[in-house]
Amino acid sequence: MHKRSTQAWLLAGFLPFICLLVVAFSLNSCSWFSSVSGVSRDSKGAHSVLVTEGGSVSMLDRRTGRQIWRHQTGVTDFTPLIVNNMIYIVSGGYNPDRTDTLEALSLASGKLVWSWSWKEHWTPENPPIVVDGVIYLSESNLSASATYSPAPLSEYQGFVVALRASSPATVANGTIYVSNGEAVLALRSNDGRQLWQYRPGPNESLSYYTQLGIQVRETNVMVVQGNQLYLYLDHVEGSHSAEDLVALDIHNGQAIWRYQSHAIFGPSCCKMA
Amino acid sequence: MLPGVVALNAASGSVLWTYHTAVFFVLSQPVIVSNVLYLSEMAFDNSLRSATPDSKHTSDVLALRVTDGSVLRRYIPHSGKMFGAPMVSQHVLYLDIRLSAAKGQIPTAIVALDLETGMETWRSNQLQPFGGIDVIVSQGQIYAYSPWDYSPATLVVFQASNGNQLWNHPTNGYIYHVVADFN
Repeated sequence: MHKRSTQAWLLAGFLPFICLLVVAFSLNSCSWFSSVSGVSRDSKGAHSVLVTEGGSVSMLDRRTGRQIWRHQTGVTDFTPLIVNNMIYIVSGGYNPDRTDTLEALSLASGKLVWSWSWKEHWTPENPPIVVDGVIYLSESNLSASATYSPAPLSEYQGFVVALRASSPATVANGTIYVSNGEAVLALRSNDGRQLWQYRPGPNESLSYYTQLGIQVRETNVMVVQGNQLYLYLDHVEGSHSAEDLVALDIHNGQAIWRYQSHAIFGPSCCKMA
Repeated sequence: MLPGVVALNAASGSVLWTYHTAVFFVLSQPVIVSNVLYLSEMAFDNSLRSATPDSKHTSDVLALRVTDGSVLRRYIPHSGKMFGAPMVSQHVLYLDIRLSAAKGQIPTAIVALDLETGMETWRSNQLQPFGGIDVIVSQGQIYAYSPWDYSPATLVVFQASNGNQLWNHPTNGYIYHVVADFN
């Protein structure tokens, strides 16, 4: 994967932006930034450190730095997921054969246990997430039959869900929230049945990621807390873009409130308090 | 509009409080620990072409009370220019500091400040010219690496209590992620 330069980050940083802090008083179903969750309690974790680097994934002894194992692959810059004594990574990006691959590695040995590939669009689009032991993978270039738990994944169904979608998935309370590029869809997680959809206005578009930051694609802006789903809507105000924060009712997709920022939101917004 | 922070009531969307910078600072990713929000206010030269800290304004780490947005305190390292997001762990604030250097170089160090006193407790040796450091604190160790624009990158590990370097892991390319806590 290409790296974003410091200069680019700084230039982006001079856009007018605000950090948004959503203060709430009930955090029971908070799912903010859940890319590494449901992780293993394997004892190996206490003594080792996982490093993903250009061309390989390495497990190191945290006391000495000694290499325990190394798996060579074209790993992308998505955060690796660790759950059930397995490590899940996405490799690919600029491969000659134009494929991306979800690789499942043994946490203990680094050996490839299984993999599943798909034709990439331009680059791997969205980081997979793990919720309650299930991997959710969303890419707009997955085959039409892959809208929900596609046939090619049958061997892995039950712990991998593939979604043909534009945005990263947000999963909470048995529901998957994802964008198909035109609307936010709420899908029942056990069978993919659509519960509702929310379409932005004609001059608005959905933001999938925060504007800034090195791991920009890792910061899904669709967030569930309590009975509300929060998302960003882009629109043009005069000569610049602006983002609004919208809260939807998770039961029916109806808008509850909207905060008009007249600016863009900064890195890793929102934050919970 | 100057950059800032807006706190909303999650249920109603009403604005609880706002904070805006006095001048046009670049704000870092915020972190919230024990009902305090920490973020860096970084001043840079207008051109932004050299990633050179602005000498006219002092960069600092701002600590805001989450409940009302009041400024609890500002943290400023005694030398070097702060850069990047703060990391807070175990009553210590860890910062990425730019050191003075020849043109074209951006040598870096990690500085640990006591949250209570604001005093510097240790400062790491000079690191290679990272483009910006990610700092992870885990089990008494500090993991520092740059996911930015420097290659080949090196993971450097310090003792959190005193800043002593424990080991390092050089690579042939970029470091994307370090996962130090599996549970």
